[in-house]
Amino acid sequence: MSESSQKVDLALKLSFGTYEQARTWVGTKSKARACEDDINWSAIKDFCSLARDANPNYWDEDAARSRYGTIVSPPGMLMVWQMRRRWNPSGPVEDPILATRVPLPGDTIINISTDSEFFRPMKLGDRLTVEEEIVDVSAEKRTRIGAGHFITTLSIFHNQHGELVARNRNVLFRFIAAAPAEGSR
Amino acid sequence: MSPIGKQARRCWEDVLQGDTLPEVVMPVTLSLCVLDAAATRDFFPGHHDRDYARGQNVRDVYLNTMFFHGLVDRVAGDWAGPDAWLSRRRLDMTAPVCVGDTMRTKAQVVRHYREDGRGMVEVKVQVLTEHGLGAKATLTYILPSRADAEPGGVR
Repeated sequence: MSESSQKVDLALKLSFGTYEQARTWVGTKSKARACEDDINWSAIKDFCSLARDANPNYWDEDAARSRYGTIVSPPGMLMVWQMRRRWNPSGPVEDPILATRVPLPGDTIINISTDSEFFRPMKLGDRLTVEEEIVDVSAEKRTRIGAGHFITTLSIFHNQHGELVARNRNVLFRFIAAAPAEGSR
Repeated sequence: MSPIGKQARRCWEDVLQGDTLPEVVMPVTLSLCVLDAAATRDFFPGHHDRDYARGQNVRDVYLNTMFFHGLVDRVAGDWAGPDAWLSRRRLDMTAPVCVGDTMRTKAQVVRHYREDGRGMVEVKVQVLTEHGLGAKATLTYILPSRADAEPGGVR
């Protein structure tokens, strides 16, 4: 492997195509994939220190044990557990989420909204499995930052016992940035 | 609103529609964005690379979705207490929240009801900056009742 191919490339590998091609992706499901890491306390503490969440279910083993038997993950980490590292021994991971594989003209993305439902606690040591489905691709819309398409993805999370843990509907905007208006910065 | 300490148990019977939640103020620094990227393992360049963010027609590096999940859950969760169960959260990010902005939250109980015998509340949290509304969320919690044994039952 050459030096240059080992460069860490953080840019997303997007698929390009037309809106008509993108529409054929509606209904596409990913195979169920095990999240890379089990629910672990180190990652939980990193996350809670970010927004300074002092909830004892995330920090205090005795308090958490009385409610759940163990420390639990904050619900806000659902998408964190879904994240993939950009490299592993099988090679670079070029399609971290299904939405980036939908062919469209836009050369960048920004996330817009989420709708998450939580059914069961995520306990230390649990390993989640996630299945994604493209549920909608909008017609072209113009926004303040540029023109593009809204991609809606549904992610369903189960634990290692096959129990439904959570469901998350995510809307991402795939767009071409508009030239900024004079003086808008 | 009843005078209840942070992280204390809050019972459904003690809540009224219209109750307001304490404000949280947090400046957005580049350091916060670095912490955000690391803690959420989100290395999309818009969250740490100023040139990339500007190429997206955004003022500067901006906070990610998972940051807002953590922030609104903390704002509502500090109030709801450790016996509450978050059953649903809807988040809309209306404008990027960038380095240099200061976030102020505004939150209140917008709905107080019973469903399937359980005490429910909906809390609306807005994240405001100098540039206006950055994000808003509606969080649905199941709260314990006074009659429940302490702490809340193991699920």
